[in-house]
Amino acid sequence: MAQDVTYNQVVAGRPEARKPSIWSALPSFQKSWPGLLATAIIAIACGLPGVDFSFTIDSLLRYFDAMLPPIYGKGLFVDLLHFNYVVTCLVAGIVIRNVIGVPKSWEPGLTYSGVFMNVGIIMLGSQYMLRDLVKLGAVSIIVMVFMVFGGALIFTFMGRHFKMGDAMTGLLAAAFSMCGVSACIAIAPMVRAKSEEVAYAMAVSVTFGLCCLFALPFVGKLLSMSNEAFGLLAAAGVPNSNQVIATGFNFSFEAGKVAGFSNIGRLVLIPAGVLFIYFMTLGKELRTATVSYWQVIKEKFPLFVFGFAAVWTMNCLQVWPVPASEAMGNVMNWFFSLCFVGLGLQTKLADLRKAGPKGIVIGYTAGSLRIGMCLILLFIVIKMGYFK
Amino acid sequence: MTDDIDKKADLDDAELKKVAATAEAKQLRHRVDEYIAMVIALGAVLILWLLQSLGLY
Repeated sequence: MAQDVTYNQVVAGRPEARKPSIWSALPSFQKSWPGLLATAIIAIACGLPGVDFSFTIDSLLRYFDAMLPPIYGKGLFVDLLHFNYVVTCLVAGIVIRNVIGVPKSWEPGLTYSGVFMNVGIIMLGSQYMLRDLVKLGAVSIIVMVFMVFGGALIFTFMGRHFKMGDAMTGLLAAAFSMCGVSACIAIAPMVRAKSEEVAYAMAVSVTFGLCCLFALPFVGKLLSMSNEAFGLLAAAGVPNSNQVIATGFNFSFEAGKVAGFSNIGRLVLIPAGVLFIYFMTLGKELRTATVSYWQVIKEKFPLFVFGFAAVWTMNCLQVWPVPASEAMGNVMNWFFSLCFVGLGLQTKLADLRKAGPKGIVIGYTAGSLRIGMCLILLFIVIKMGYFK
Repeated sequence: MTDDIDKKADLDDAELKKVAATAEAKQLRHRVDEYIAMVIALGAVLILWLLQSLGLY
């Protein structure tokens, strides 16, 4: 008894309980493996780039194209509907989620699609030389700065015009100007948003991104856009990072590379963008004293950018020869395939209903305005002779 | 009337705390995802580089 009292006194006297490890944020491997295995199997079944394997959905679509009568001399799936590995992975994921259904045991593993995207972006460094980044870097930074802050201004204006409320305006501005769901969650406590408002804003940005993913490549082809211009358009116009990469690769491999690189610029701007939206949307009297600017910068800065920089530096120093660089390109594509399958498997078409008519009208109008603004900006940049 | 207003304020506070906790958890997961991605990507690059220098392809 005396021992118990002493023990309790010791526990009560501790300044604070031990903080849980950061790794506790991850679902355990035991819980994750079904989802991870399913993602890998579906990605392989869709057809991994650079792997000659005959029994894939990609081969099946090519077989159908060869068997069916051509439409205007073109195959239905590959030529007209642009079924490449990106679309195949996404559509397979979306069909499985919304038609067949995803078992609950898959859910923890599916949350790793963000990891696969980050791995792909870091490995993207192996595909760039110094001259590529010099050529693309300045334009990409100018476009991204303009689109992040300009986009936030469009949403703030529309939010005030349609009387959406500060929280909703801030959430939509963050989701559309920066990086969709992540930015939305990052800004939610700062603008004092409620959970249903967060869910609503996320649904609007995800469904808008999904529409962009399939529609923008057609727009790009219609406007005969170059790979560089389309990559920048995807990075500036599509809300969510994984949708940005998918939209870029859906247009072409080169456009995907540009989209991935330009998206890094946008991610780096998240801390500044979050603070900008915080000041734009909330009146002076509503800003809380608890927001520490240094804390925001420290928490929101994407650290994996250093991984990209490390791989890119090694590539510039020609640490490895060309065959290794090509192999890294293939491995990068495999990780992106896993990310696209994960993205498809997490896409709930019912979210369109959740977004509601008002959200769709305001979010989609402002999102489309941003894309229009980006097209004008790109037109000016092209006219100035930065790229074709 | 005052009680109702107090009750609503309490509810709002609880709701905001819930959103803040979710945001913190997601932020932590984001960070961990980044660390894992760096380990996997740099590991993959290292393996491919080693295979290349061993002349395996």
